Amino acid sequence: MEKRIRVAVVGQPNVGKSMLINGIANSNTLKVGNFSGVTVDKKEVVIKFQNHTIHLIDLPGAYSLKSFTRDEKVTSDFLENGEYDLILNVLDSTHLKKNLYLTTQLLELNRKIVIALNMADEAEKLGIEIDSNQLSNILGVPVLQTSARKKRGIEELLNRIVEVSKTQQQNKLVYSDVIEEEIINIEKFLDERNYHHTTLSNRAVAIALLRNSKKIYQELHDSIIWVELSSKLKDALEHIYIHYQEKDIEAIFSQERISIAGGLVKECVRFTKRDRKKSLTEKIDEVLLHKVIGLPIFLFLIWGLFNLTFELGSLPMEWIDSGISLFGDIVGENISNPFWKSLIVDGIIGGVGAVLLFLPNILILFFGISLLETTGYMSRVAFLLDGFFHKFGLHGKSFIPLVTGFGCSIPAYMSARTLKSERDRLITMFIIGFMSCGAKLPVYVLFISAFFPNENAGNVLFGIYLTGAIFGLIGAKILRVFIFKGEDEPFVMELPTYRLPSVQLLWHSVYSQAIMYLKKAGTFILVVSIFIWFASNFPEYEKVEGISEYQYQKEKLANSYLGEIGEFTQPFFQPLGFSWELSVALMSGIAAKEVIVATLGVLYSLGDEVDEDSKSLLNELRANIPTETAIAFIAFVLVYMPCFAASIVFTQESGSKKYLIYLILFTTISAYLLSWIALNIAKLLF
Amino acid sequence: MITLYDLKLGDIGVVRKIHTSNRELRERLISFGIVQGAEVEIRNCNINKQNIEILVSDTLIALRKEEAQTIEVEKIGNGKED
Repeated sequence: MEKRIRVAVVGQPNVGKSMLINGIANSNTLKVGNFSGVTVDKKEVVIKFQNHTIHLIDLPGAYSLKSFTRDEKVTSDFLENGEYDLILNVLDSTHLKKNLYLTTQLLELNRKIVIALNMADEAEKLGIEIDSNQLSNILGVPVLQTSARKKRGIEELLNRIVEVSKTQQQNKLVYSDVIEEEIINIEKFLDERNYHHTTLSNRAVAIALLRNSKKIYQELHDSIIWVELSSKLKDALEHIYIHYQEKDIEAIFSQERISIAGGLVKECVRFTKRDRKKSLTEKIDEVLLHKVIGLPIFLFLIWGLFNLTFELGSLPMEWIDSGISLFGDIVGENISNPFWKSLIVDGIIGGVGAVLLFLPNILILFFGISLLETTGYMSRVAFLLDGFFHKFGLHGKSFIPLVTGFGCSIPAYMSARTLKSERDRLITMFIIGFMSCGAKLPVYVLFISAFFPNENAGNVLFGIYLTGAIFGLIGAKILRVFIFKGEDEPFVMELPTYRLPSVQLLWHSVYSQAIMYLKKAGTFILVVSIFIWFASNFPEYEKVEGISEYQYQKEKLANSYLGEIGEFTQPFFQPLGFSWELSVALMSGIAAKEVIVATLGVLYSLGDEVDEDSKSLLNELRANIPTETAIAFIAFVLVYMPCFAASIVFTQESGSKKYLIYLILFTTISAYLLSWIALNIAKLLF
Repeated sequence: MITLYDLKLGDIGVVRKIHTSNRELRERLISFGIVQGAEVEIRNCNINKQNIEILVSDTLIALRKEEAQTIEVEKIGNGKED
């Protein structure tokens, strides 16, 4: 008997929700890409259990259902209006009181619910004993203990989910006496008047009325009992206000929830290790959040990450490079038709191959960022940096989207949703482009390898990223002062317990980013590579007798469509000293940044002498481009507009096409200016 | 009126009232357990005390100066860890 069960998985941030879902799914890893452990959208995982198909809908973490941030709005909207059969509320057993606050709100929804007290292993270690049976009795809903990390309680949980889906459920959430009294009054009135709601009990209706639920008000407004009811309600609320010395009913209910949570903890939890020694987290924070050394430690770690990216990445890079040329040769030998041979070997393999080369570097970078996030260190950094960021019109939380931007702008634009204030969010998004995304890494690595000695390579790379970040901050300040003026978003942020990241989740995160990167290579870049190849080989050019092969290639290129585009845009880039190859490469970079390298690869391998040895792109660059131009080029790439795919996401996230236009103007003008400045400084130095 | 911001490192206070008309801020503070009667301890602060870190019901929370100044407290001890 196949049955479909839809489960909304809800919990506060950092409770191990994703890990639990992953644990339930076993070998089925989360289907949709999860960028560095931050759930920004709802994702669905489907599993089969005992003849049932269970859909687990992973909702973004929410501290409360009152929409504060966009994430919480997604979650609360879904819970109010979405289709699901039951709620799975995941809690962190080591922070029950705080987590139960959300639970009380969930119980108020009056939907079927199963409670999972996750991280049970950690609670055990800390001497926190939870009587889940007692808790279950008091609340009237199933409560189980689980440990996603140790994979305990999962089978039990699934069994219970199936069971609950088949039975009725009525929770027993009870408020304090004063409120209960009024609830009962209203409930009695509804009963006496024979009012029956389609889905809710009269008690639930009474509570909703007291809480000013718009939905219930609308439903009852047209009923005949409304006049008398609204008068009774007014009285009830007056009583409550007088008792609480507070006129905001929502604040009163919030207070109630906290009391309930506290009461539940008192009833069901025993702390056996009550001598409060400083927790490990607090001890670590003493070092990492130290007033003097905290920030330097962070800078050191980031610097280390960049150096690691370069060094660890260079060895696999060599292998991939040789592997690709070998592959190209073998394929080439097996194709006789010169047209197809050229298209496939030079166009496709040459182009896409140049991009695959940088996969190791990108993976290491993504890995580092994920690591920082899942251990909990990221929020420490937000704490350290908020004072500083705030001065530039940004927010400590801007840090996450900005750092994500170092990986890829697309998830960075999406994670900017964590900033509630429109203004904070927009400014942050506008400068994400300055945080060089992973796709720019190939360009930097290529040029650094060609123009700088090896010992300095890591430092130059770090220098580039740092410069980009500085430009970004200045840009933000300018935007804040001249364009986006307004209120500040409140800064209230949890610093979660330090946890060792789950290797599985970490691997999954890096893996899904690799897939995304490869998909980009497979589609956008492939298409653009073919286009570039086509544009550089046509129209057909006849070889004139008597000139060298090299000369022929050069002239052929100059006469191709690509050459013409290059010539056309050349004057624009003239003051910066960019040759037409570089100009064309920049144009291609609008499609996707990795394509810049692909384009250069195609251009220089075609304009090359037909010779095995000098196929090296590095040599070509060194031979054809003066150092100061290379530096100006890097500066331009650093700043100019985001790639096509990212621009689309930016438009979606910012909410308006006009912002995209502003962005293009802003980045292009800045790129030009900074590149020109870089050129002139470089001329003086080299 | 003494606010959370006025307390020093290691001090323990009890929340008396939250002075803000910003509903969002109020709800966020409440959802973290910062309510009337809650016990809070000042754990840390960053450069120039732009932000402070407090401990409330076993959770570490970071706040900006502006938010901390809306929370009226009563100091109940110079909590020094034993």
